[in-house]
Amino acid sequence: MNDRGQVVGFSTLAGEAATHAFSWTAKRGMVDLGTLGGMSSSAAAINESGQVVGGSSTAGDAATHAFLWTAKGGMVDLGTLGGTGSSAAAINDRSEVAGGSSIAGDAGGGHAFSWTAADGMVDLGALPDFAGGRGFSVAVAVNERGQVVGRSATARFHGTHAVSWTGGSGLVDLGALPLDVFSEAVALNADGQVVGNSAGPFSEHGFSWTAAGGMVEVTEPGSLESNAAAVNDRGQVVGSSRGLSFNHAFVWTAGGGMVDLGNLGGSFGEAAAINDRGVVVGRSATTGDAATHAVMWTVSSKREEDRTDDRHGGDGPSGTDERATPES
Amino acid sequence: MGHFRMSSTRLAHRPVGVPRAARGRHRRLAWAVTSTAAASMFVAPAAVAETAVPAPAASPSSGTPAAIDLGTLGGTSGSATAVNDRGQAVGFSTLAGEAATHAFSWTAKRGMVDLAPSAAVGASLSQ
Repeated sequence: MNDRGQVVGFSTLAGEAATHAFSWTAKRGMVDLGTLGGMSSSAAAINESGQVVGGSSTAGDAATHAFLWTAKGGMVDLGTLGGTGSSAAAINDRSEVAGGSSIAGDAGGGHAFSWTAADGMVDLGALPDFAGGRGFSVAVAVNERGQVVGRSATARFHGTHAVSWTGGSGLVDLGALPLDVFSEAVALNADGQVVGNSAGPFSEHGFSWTAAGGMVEVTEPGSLESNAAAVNDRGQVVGSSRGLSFNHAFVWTAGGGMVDLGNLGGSFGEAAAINDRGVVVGRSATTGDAATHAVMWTVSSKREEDRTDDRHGGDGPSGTDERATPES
Repeated sequence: MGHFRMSSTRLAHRPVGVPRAARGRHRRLAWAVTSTAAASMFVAPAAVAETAVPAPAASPSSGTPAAIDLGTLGGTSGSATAVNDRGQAVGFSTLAGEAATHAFSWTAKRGMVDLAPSAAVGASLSQ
């Protein structure tokens, strides 16, 4: 969904034989975005200009390809990195697309890609993998700087690590929390703060990563397990945390730690997203666990002091206020 | 420990005692769980007493934001998955009878709106 209220997704068609990507607005309702010639398509993201990306089956349902859809041009095939299939996961307001694609010979699990109209699909590479092969990576998000995040297979214990790609630094291994083997990035903000999850034989916890501070565990006293789901441009991370006596949605900042968001009276809550004004959404069990409802929380967004360690330095209160303006 | 919801199988695979103790903030909890403990065996009284004390950062206080119930589309399971800077939320929900799951949009003005009201069955998920 973008800030203009355009929503994208996918829906089964009448008869349930196929699924098509859609775009929806309150005025025009649901618009079928079609396919690249095959039976099914699915939209993954939309930017502020209304450009939609996702994946669609191609003619004869031979493969799934990443697509870019615009109201004017319809659905355009973004191609692959030389293999059979691809799928797009994210698009920023500069029309930079990120996703994953199989590579020549369909070797390994494929590579993350970025795509621009000027350069087409570019292979972002992968970490050296255990077999000395061509590795595996996939991208899940891109910010307005063109920084892409995702995960890549590692040589160690057949794991995966969260990774970040920038034009300047190339592929950066974000590592994992101590003792963990698996990590993945799920989201990032305009400043390059990355959030995701890290897991090992013993537990799984959310993390927050910055270039300056490295990877920090997103947790609280008593948490046996946590998951980070999203981060906004103020550095507020949301997700869910579970311990012996609680199972709740949280908002977390580097300086303020984790705060319980409360729930609707039931035994669990989960936060899925947060906007730049501190509005959080997710789901929560209701009283007696009779049902699970969509839920919204509004948290204070005046926690800028938490971000001074990884901000462009020296910005006082006036500088932080300016950043309240949504950039997208 | 009546509020404990984690499945016992999940925990049984997690000998958190030794490794988690090395991680600062987990130390108190780590001692509450032994590597062989099933979920129903968190009984060491001292440890339970310790973990039952809410930590400052996690304790519900006057600063805890109120949870606003956005409801469902008539079924018993709904979830919001995204929110834009105007405060509009989207997600998905089961309909009455639980036979179908539809995407929804929610605004303070209009409440929850089914994005595919004409689809009797079927599913739609929004991003």
